[in-house]
Amino acid sequence: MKEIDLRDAFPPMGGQMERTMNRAYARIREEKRMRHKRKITLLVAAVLTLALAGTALAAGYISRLRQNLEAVGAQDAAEAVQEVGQVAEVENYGIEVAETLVEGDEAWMTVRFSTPDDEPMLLALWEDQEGVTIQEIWGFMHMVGGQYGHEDTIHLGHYDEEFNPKGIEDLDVTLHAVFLRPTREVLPASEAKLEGLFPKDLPKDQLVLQNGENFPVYVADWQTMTNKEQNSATDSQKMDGIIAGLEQTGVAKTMQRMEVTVPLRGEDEGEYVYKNVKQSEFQFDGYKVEVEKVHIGELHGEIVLRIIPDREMEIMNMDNDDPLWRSFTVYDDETGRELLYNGSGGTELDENGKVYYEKTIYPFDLGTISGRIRLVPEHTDSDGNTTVFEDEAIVLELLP
Amino acid sequence: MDEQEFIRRTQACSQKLYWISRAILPNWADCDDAIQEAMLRAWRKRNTLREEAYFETWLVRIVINECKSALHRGRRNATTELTEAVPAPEEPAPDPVLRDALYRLDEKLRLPLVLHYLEGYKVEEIARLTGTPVGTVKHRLRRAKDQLKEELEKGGYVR
Repeated sequence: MKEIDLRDAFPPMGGQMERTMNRAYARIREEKRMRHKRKITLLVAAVLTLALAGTALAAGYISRLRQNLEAVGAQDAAEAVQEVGQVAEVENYGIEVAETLVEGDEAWMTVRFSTPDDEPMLLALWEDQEGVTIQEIWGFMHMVGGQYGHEDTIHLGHYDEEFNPKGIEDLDVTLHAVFLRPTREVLPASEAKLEGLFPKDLPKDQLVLQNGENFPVYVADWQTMTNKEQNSATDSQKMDGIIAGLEQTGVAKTMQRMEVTVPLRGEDEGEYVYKNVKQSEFQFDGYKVEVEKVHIGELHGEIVLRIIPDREMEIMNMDNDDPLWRSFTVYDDETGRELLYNGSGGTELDENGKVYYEKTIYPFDLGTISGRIRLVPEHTDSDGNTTVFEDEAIVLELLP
Repeated sequence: MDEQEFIRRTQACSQKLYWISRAILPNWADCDDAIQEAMLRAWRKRNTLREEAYFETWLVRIVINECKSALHRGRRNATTELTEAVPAPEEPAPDPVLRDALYRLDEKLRLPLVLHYLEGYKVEEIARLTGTPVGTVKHRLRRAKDQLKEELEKGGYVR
């Protein structure tokens, strides 16, 4: 092979690759810009400083601060550039919601905390205006100060009564924050000496308080809830219970409590005619299909499906194959018209490390379609043989 | 990793991404799509990369996966997946005979050949990149060389 230079088999990289890279960067910037467009303008309307100076004891006190959103219409909101919103400051403890991003049924908030000292710890609980807890997807307790810094991003999900993802639209979210000062060493669970009754399989990034006697207190013994019943006001009671427990065991004391209400406005999805489906899960022999996202407009759309096997699935690489790694032919179910699309598919890991297959379909040139689309799966093996699974077609009944 | 750092790192391995996409996909328009999709995917998932030192390997794997997906999509849905307008005429390869011979090889042979002889990846690295056993990679490299030689001889290739 030495006499052959494989580079001669391809045109030189030259400008075409540069254009490709630049288009990719442009798409990344466009994606960032679109996300910014959906961010919410946060303004300070009033900051109430309660005249409750002095020592903040276990019962604490609440300063309720409300932040107003600049009066903007839906269209304006979608295009509003987010502003930093100073939210609350009491006795040198502060919370600032730096920016928010709403995307579908999830929201991200960058929150900056300020404390007079380096070590305080914050517990937080989020509720909507009806007192329903908004699930915080990546945990519940935030460390602030010292090595932990003063900024954290909170990732929230909003769910309806049946715990289905629910679009965030015109939602007021209240942060119940409690600044706690640990009186014992704070360390990751992986470094704590977990003995006795305490679970040995805590997440490694879980923070615990070690009380000095090799007897840790599992601070964030508070799990995000998985249904409305649990997601009700009992959560705030539970949080209070945790705090009371920490104080009784002498490992932390409450320094300050605060509440901040942040208005969230959903993204402008006016361009989509359909954004929901009547049925989002389809069970088949050996696997199920979950409809993760459906956005259908006249020009284009996006459908995200998850194929979740009952068995183990390998991570996709160059040489393996799985009959559940499927493509779909998409039809308007009433007219039989085939809908054209771009698509991609690949294996992903869920939060438990289980592998599933995710198929994303980007239909285009849709025009007017009926409210039902049919997806017929097929699989092409490594030898190029295609099997169509007519019996495993799914019909999505589209809803606005 | 911020945007500037992402751009710096991706540009640093652009030549590599170019050869790899070329090795898998014969059509530049498909390479173009696959690289863009891979870059977007990498950008969205960049926070899942635990060790930034492995960025290049990680990105190469994403590109390989995207190109493989594009290849399979092309086989399955050739009539429905291509939205792009007619691509601009492509610059010809310096050695069209070599090009044709190379593309007559199965992609499973072509990719390790390019990774090894163009990019200098070791057999073990190719095995890790492609999720293929080392022995299989060695076997494919041998077959790829033999088949390429045969194809070139059939084409009257003389060097």
